[in-house]
Amino acid sequence: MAQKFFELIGVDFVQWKALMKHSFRLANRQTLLTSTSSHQSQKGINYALYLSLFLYLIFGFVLIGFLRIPNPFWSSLFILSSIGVMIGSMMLIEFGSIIVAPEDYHIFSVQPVSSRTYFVSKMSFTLIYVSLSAAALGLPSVIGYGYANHIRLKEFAVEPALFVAALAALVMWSLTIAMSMILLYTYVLRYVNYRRLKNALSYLQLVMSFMIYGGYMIFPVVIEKTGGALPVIKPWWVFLIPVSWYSSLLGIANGSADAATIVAAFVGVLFFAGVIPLAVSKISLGYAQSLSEGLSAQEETKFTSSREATSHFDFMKHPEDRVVAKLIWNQFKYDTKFRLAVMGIIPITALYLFMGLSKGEGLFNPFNPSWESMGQSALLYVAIVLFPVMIKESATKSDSYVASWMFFVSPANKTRLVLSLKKALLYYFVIPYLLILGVIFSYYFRSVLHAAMHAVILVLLSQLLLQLLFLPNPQLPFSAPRNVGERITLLGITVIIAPILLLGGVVLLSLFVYQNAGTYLTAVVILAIMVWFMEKLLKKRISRKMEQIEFLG
Amino acid sequence: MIQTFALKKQYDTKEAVKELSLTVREGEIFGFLGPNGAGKSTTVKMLTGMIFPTNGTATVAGFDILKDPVEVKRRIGYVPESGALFETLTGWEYLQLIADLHHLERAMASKRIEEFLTLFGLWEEKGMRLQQYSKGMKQKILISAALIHNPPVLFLDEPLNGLDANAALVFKELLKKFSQQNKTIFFTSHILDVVEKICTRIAIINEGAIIAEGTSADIAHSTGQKSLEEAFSKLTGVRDARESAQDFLEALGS
Repeated sequence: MAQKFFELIGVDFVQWKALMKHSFRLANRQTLLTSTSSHQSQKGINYALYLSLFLYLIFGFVLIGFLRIPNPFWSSLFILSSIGVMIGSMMLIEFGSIIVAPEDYHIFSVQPVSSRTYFVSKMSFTLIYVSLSAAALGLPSVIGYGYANHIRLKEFAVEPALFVAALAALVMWSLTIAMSMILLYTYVLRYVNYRRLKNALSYLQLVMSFMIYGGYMIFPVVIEKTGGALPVIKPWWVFLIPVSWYSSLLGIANGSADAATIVAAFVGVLFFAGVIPLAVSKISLGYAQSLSEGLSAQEETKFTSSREATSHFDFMKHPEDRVVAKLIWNQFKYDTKFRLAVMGIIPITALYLFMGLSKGEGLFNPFNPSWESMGQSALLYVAIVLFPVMIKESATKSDSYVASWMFFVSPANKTRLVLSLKKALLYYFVIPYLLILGVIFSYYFRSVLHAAMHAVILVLLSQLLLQLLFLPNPQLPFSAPRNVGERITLLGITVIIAPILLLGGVVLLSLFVYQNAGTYLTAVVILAIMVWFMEKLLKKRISRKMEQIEFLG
Repeated sequence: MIQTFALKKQYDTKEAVKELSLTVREGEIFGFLGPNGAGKSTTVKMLTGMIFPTNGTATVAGFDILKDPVEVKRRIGYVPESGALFETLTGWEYLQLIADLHHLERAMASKRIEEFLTLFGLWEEKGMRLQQYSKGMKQKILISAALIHNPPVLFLDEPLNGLDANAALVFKELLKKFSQQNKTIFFTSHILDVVEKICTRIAIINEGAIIAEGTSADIAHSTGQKSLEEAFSKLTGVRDARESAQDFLEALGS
């Protein structure tokens, strides 16, 4: 039956099945939320798609919280917006794996696959992928709408009209977003280099991971704050936002629709019907070819400024310092994984700050301690400890660790290379990060001097932490394969131990060190001596370890 | 088996291939040589239907590459120089995908995959993802994928890349046997020794145009050189190899 239908539309059924199976296989091995390093995926993650869907489902349950808003138009506006952002970002970031990838052209263009078969398989997969994601994100709320009054009024009342409207809104909105993203992506690629766009999208991936993990904590706070404060009469400008066209369906089903709501719903249906044929015209093997040709043309002009980068580090005395600085700088510039690992601290810090400050206690000020705010600030100190741990891990492990052969065949001083790496991480990443935090502290402490004094102590403690991290396992820059299991364990231990140690330390500082200038200066001197002593110890330890170190490639 | 008629490919102002006309007969191992950027890969891409010619046309296995591209692709096997593979798939899965795209019956496909993997010494690694394979192992998968549907025409772009000596030896013998079975092989390589040994006829392309054609002996003779290597250098070399080497030595001494 299916085979006959496919024959009728000129699609090779056997090839369609093979391509669908292939698409699911690829999606199950690497998707947005579970994007794995090559080393990890070699071990065989085969359920990445299902894991993503499971995370979306949990997120979908978090969205049910919006049902506490009495008006279905407003509650669905929030829910559909969240789903729209998730699906839109997913489509943009995963365009290559879900829709059309330049790699497809290299492999499929020499196989006897017609453009129509390729197109139908890609389209079918996109529809299934979007539907599954939308179902995971939206079905909990859609079912919730069926029982909305029951939830609010604590009486049993099934509302089929609201349920059907919510389902229709979810389907139309998620497909409209997906198709609009296909159009946007293909349009942007006419003007922007494919590789540059992929790099830009990796930032979006960072923001999205932050949204998903942060959403669990942030949404309840947002719902708490906005729950009852929304107007019954909708302002005109709200209908300029496309998502409101689909929320209007719920407004109609609820029996509270005015003329504007009905017109908006009509516009939504029209837009949905119009955007699909436009987007599907973009999915073809021919398009994969143009992506691929564009990519080859761009490869020639990729790295033009390496000479400039060389001169930035010429002032450094030791060649090993220059090598490491140049390497770190270029990896940060061109290796998206390394860059994201470093920049991942920004959303984490922002989230922890938000969580800490949302209770209104302010940041814990060790110079004028308020013990109520201490618990709230614990998360920020987790971020401060997490950062050196994260960057040490990312700067020693890499997908291109095989390139580290150069350290083993050159007469470079390996001990010096490791020490230079530690130094580079401290100067280029940790200190700037703590300086930014110092500015935030100065706002909450209401004293620039106190903020600066606290930042100095944190710099010394972070330096000690970096030394401690290098002590048991000194490694050359980007010289070991990534192992995600190991990383998660390390981060897990850090998250548990860090607040206890560091917050305990900050309490001690608060009670005994920050009380007067004398004790503060003594503490700084003691910490500086500890850093100096650790450096000596580290140097000896690294020298011993480097005699035995072997190339892992 | 392969015929091109004034085949041309133009990128903006650059003519990558200039009105190329050539014929490769059934059972021939045709060596297609040229320096980097001469137009070899562009020609192969046009003949395999990866890109469209700007002008002219060609037939492969009796089908026009523009009018019947899918029919052409059913009858060709291609080993690309780029080595592009879906690296998150295992070796077995990749070959199964290609077999499905060629409508190979499941049992037959599994049997062939098993045989290829065993012959290439990859049976133990069949469940490993391709990203974990070495360069040579990936090349063996690419060769297996090109052969799995037993095509009458093979396009091989640097097929010996990364192969170990034993695998290369087996592969070269295999090409000779294919030729005896009347399969047509379009062979592109920079390794002139190999081309000289296995190709029955050779064409040299430079700046998008064929500059010499014939057996390796014919080409050497026509240029007044002793070997194909020397003839190639004379026909395509911008500078004398000895002079270039001397300049390198002088640069090291400065």
